[in-house]
Amino acid sequence: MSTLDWIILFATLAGIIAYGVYKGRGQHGSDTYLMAGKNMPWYVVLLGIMATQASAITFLSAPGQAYTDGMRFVQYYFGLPIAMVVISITFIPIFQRLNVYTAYEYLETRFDRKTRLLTSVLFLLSRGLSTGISIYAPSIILSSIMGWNIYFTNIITGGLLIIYTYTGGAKAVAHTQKLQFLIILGAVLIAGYLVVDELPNGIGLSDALYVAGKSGKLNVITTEFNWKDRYNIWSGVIGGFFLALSYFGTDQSQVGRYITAKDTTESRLGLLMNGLVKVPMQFAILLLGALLFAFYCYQPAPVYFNDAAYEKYKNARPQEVAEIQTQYDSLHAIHMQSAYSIAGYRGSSQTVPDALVQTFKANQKQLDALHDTVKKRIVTYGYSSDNNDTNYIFLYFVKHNLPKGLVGLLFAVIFLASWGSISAALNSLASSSLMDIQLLNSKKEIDEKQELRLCRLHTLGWGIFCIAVAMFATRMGSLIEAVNILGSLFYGTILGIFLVAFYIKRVNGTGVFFAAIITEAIVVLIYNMDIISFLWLNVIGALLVVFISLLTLIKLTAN
Amino acid sequence: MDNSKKHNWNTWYAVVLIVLLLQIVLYYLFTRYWK
Repeated sequence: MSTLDWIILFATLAGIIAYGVYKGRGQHGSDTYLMAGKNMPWYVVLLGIMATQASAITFLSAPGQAYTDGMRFVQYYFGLPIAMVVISITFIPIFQRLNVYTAYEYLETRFDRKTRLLTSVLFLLSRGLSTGISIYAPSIILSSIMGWNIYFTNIITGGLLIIYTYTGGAKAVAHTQKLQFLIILGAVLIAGYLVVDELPNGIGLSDALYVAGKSGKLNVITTEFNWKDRYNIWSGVIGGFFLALSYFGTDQSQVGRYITAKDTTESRLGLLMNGLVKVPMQFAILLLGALLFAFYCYQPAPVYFNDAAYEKYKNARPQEVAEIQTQYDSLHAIHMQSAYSIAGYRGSSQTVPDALVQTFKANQKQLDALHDTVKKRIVTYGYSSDNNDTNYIFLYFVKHNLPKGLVGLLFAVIFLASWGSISAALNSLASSSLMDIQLLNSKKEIDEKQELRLCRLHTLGWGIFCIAVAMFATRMGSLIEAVNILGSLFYGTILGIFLVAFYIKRVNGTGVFFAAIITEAIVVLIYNMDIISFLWLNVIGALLVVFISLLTLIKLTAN
Repeated sequence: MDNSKKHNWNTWYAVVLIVLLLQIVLYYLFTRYWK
């Protein structure tokens, strides 16, 4: 990176910290620290919700996923708008009316203390671990690209944000998320424009879409049903709905964002706007990945996008790598030639010959196979602790193709995206561990000053815990899936408890508590059997809690 | 004061769901067109 890039990177990060500390002033108790004084307008809620969900993983993995697997990942978000409507109708009015600090507080009012404890412990466990992964995810990539020590990078990614999250609580989180997300959106839009702009002369957006489409990268909608398939329209709408309902309706990191709104209207508007813009935003990020694929059909492309790992492999086995590289270069030259011929036919308004398209596809398969061989060898020989290069594709383009200054900004964006979701997670973890665990069983009266001190201590404690998890998180496979799978193991059960609380008035605390315990055991068992995609685990978990709770009613009636 | 009654929420919900449906149709056409 150039000096200008470093200046922009550090200025952006320092600016965000200073802004967070400044905006988070005036803390005097848990009300201001955990709920930002319940004073936020809908657009701050909206940007907070989006920044919490969109971690660095979103901006690194999603384009990489479209590059390798196509755009079908967008279907995963189809259930989200429906969930926003359900939450607006049922969840928000109750949370706002009861003026709760955490979603789990409501469960004590509705059921009993042990149900509140169970759900908050499940939340603390899953969110604590997944936040650790959210720190590790960008750190492993940045450390590889910059040559930094992974442990040091973990501390920068997960540690600097603690400064403003610790001092300013939810208010600092909300205001920094607003700014972070606007910077992220601006930078990603510029990057998207430049992918198209950097295409060679004579190659337009339509040509890029054509080659991406013929390579199966524009498969936004896939209708074939398969229980083990992660992303198709059925698992997207049904599984995605349940996942979004549990994430936005029962995960404190999201509930904690919209309970900072000044009233029901502002909360609802924030969530419904999210329902309108989330899918198109995700489509745009994935399209960026598909266009990157087309970009590298017309440009020399690396065998492996994690160039630090590839370099290690090359230095250790020069002969072996030279052979692969020669084979790859000659294949890619033919591939590029086919891509240009396709553009030539399209430019002259002629039909592209089927044989040419078939040659292009066959070449792509051979290139993919060679890439997979390199990937396997890099993992087997241990040249990288990251066993895939999917998450490196976007940053490879940024590093090698963007102008000076913009490279620094895009690297800053990766940090900002992490900070947005991690700071919200720390704030929500602190809310839950303080309100649902420590103060729940404390008989001592405490004043506002002590309350604030405790809030800050919990925030700091969770910050240290999550960094520690990041330090241990090596070889987690595809990061985006690791986070989602972890969530899905608990999410269904927690959602089931809330669904029973809202919609089945006759079920009591003991009934739902045992239903949740049995369900969690079944969900873990099904996951271990590996017979179903993780998105469905969430649906099964939620429905099982409801079903078993209903069974307890039958038993009670019989008695 | 909560001004939630000033909004016609049912219209809002319908808009969100119709926009989703329209998007799915458009994405389906997009997929078919570039296949």
